Amino acid sequence: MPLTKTLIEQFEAQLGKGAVLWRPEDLTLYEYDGGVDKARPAAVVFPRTTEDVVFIVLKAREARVPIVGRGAGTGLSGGSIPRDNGVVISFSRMNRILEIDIENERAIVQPGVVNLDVTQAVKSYGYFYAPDPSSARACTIGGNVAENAGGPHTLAYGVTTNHVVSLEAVLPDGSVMRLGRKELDLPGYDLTGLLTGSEGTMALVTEIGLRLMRQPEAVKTMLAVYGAAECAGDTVGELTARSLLPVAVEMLDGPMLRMVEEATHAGYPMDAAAVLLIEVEGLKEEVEEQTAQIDKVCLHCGATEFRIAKTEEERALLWKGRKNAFGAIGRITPTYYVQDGVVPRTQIAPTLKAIAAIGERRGIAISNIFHAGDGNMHPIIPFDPRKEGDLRNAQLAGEEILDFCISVGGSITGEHGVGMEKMELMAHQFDDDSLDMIRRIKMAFDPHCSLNPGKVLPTGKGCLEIRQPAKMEL
Amino acid sequence: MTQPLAPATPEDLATILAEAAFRNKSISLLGFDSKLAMAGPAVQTDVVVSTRCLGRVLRYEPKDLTLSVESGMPFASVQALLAQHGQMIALDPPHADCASVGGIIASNSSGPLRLGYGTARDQVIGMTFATLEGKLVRTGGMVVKNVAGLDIAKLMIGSFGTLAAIASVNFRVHSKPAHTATFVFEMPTLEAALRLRREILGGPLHPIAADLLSPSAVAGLGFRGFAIALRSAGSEAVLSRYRSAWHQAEIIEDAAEEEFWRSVREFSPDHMRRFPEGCVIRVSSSLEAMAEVLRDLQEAYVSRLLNGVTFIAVSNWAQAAPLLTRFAQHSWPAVVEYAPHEIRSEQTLWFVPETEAEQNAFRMMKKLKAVFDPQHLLNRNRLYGRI
Ligand SMILES: Cc1cc2nc3c(=O)[nH]c(=O)nc-3n(C[C@H](O)[C@H](O)[C@H](O)COP(=O)(O)OP(=O)(O)OC[C@H]3O[C@@H](n4cnc5c(N)ncnc54)[C@H](O)[C@@H]3O)c2cc1C
Repeated sequence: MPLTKTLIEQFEAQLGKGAVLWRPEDLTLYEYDGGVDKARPAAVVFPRTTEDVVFIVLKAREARVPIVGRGAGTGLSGGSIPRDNGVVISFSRMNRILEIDIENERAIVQPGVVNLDVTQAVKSYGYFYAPDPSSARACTIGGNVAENAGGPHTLAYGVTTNHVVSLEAVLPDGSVMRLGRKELDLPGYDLTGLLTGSEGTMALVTEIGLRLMRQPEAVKTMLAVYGAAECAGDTVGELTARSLLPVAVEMLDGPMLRMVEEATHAGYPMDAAAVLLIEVEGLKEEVEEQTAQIDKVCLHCGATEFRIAKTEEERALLWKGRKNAFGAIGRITPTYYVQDGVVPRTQIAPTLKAIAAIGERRGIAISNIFHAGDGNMHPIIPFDPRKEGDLRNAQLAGEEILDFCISVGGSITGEHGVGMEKMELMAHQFDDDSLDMIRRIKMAFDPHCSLNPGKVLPTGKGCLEIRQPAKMEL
Repeated sequence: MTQPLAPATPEDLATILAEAAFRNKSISLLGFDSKLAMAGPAVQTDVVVSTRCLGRVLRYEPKDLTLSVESGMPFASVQALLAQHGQMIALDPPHADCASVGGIIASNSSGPLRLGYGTARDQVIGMTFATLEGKLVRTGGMVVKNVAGLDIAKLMIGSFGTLAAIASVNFRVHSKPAHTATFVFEMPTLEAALRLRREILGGPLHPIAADLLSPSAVAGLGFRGFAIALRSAGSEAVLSRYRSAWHQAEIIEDAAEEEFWRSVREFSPDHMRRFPEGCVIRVSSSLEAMAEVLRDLQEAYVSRLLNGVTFIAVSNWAQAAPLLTRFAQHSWPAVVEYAPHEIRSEQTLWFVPETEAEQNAFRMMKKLKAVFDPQHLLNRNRLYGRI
């Protein structure tokens, strides 16, 4: 759907020529996110202020063109893909930290601020921003709010929604809402909580108030090595059951840790079937005690080795492996598909078995690297895009895995979102009445389906999709 | 009052709501009536629905630290069940001994423990609620991390039953701490108390509760001046660290500690029992503004010192009104949380800010109300008289 010349001109007049992309060759970068779907936008615009965003929203609305927000494009479920063409609003230039308020333990940021930059900005005061997606170096706070992002340390500290206290948001009709404040416990419905995790389908977020946390006094990182993946899974259940509270418990299975070790030389054992990367934080006394107890539990559950990082360097090295894992996979299989199911923590071992069986049946070497502490599985499913049917085979394997997660009481997504990737699977997890409620709430915010159409809800159950799937109502 | 209907299953709850709505009857939802004196005034309605027969535990997996219970289950029974496994829901709201699970969640009640564990929004991982159309809607699930679909439970928490009827709630539960101890500092002035707060904020210690009690609030508990009460949790080694760091404080433990926090938690309901004409105002402020908010306040109050939420108890409306005016002038969000029924029927309980963007947010709330309850039948005005 090519845009009219006037709309482009209007955007350029307001935002400046350098803030509007519309030539096809300039748009290719914006066809993708970190997932496997793609679609080309009609234009990409770069607002700097809330007023710019309002202007864009109103002009697009006049021209009846759908809009889609975009952060860094690291999303893994196609959330920022303009599947109905339309205008992509990139928040990459709204990247200022507006206020750091240490006394009140708050930071106010624009949506394009990169996740890690928040912690960098407050580190010297002894504070940090807790949600730490593995993509923290690239992904934006706006994208984190949209997806309700998590990360290794959300096990102890909670996900994005537990750390967002206020939002400024632009509605699809161009009006601006202020939700929440620095102060807590405002009366009224928790719209901040509702918008967090709404995947950019209800409002565009233009300012975010974040809770900052004090850095812990001590931290210890350890690595438990296993000869069988199930034993690692059992350890997670056992830690939970014994009320040991690591701040992070990450798991890498055998194939994964070999890929990672070859690429990063983090010091992972090449012959193990799985490792757990465990971290504890808190007072010195607490950390010492917990480390000793965790050591015992790991050995009790069959760990063959238990290492504790002795220096900050050793610690960083252990984490380097985890954090660069996706790069490492990329060296071996350039194209792969990351799944994001969640299971109750006692079900990790059976789920790993089920994943292996599905991989075997479909002839795919699936490996696993995931947030084990909260049961958030990330099977990595490689495929060859040149091979006919290979991507489809990978997607079907993903679906089977997610169906298994649902069958043991879990969920199809723990942090990457539904997007356009898992829309149809929503109907496996929720009944029609529950899906319809989501649709109606979305429509209260976006009655014309102009914001990020064709996401989250199954085709035919979404916003005004009955007549025209995945299209904006014109 | 109309004889309450008490459905025994979520399906019956949904059917009752649908039938009443179909006949255009006004409806009020009740748990165990503990919060009738709270928030917007409950009025006579055509139909009264009580959740008291929805009392089942639907699922409890101690090893997964998750629990699902029906909304009419007494909160105290849930905690007793969890305690058998050394676990708890990390919420210590007022009325904890006599309230239903649904009532606590619908009113977003919390207590001193919120410092360590957060509020209802941090504990609830899923929910089923019945709508006026007679449908049972599920949101979230039984896992601690989940972003499938909208987090509609967030809308229900603190909605005072104005949108739908909560049928069951799924919680993440926590292990009870191995040991706790409470440290009470008696401070001569508010300024000194707030200085101490700054020291705590700057240090490595992380109490799970930190409340400031005004002289008149703390007098009955055997302390003098302004008292800062800090509760720490953990192993023996951790607690001895706290003991040496806070050696100037008076330490309370065991039964005395439980009793102390019980009275702090029940501050508002206890006040209302003693002063039937009384009011309790809840005011939120940034930590920085707290000095200003509390300056020269003679009334009894309890402040969640590191959350910036203060409960002020006054003996009648005449004392409440000027405080509310002052808070509104400074744009410190405040509500009248408890007051006699007539006061709550006549006075403004919730001061919606005047800025356009905040008005727009309020408009969106009303829009959502219309999605759930277009005829305005359910718990009318219970949301602090506004919705
Ligand atoms: C290597 C790698 C590791 C990852 N690890 C994790 C992890 O550990 N945990 C995790 O949770 N995720 C992880 N992710 C996924 C991804 O990084 C997160 O989903 C992240 O939150 C997306 O942020 P983004 O800025 O890239 O958003 P985008 O991908 O650009 O957009 C994501 C969604 O947000 C919407 N959006 C963006 N900005 C706004 C705004 N201002 N207002 C409204 N909507 C907006 C978009 O429309 C889209 O729906 C990982 C991704 C990669 C590639």
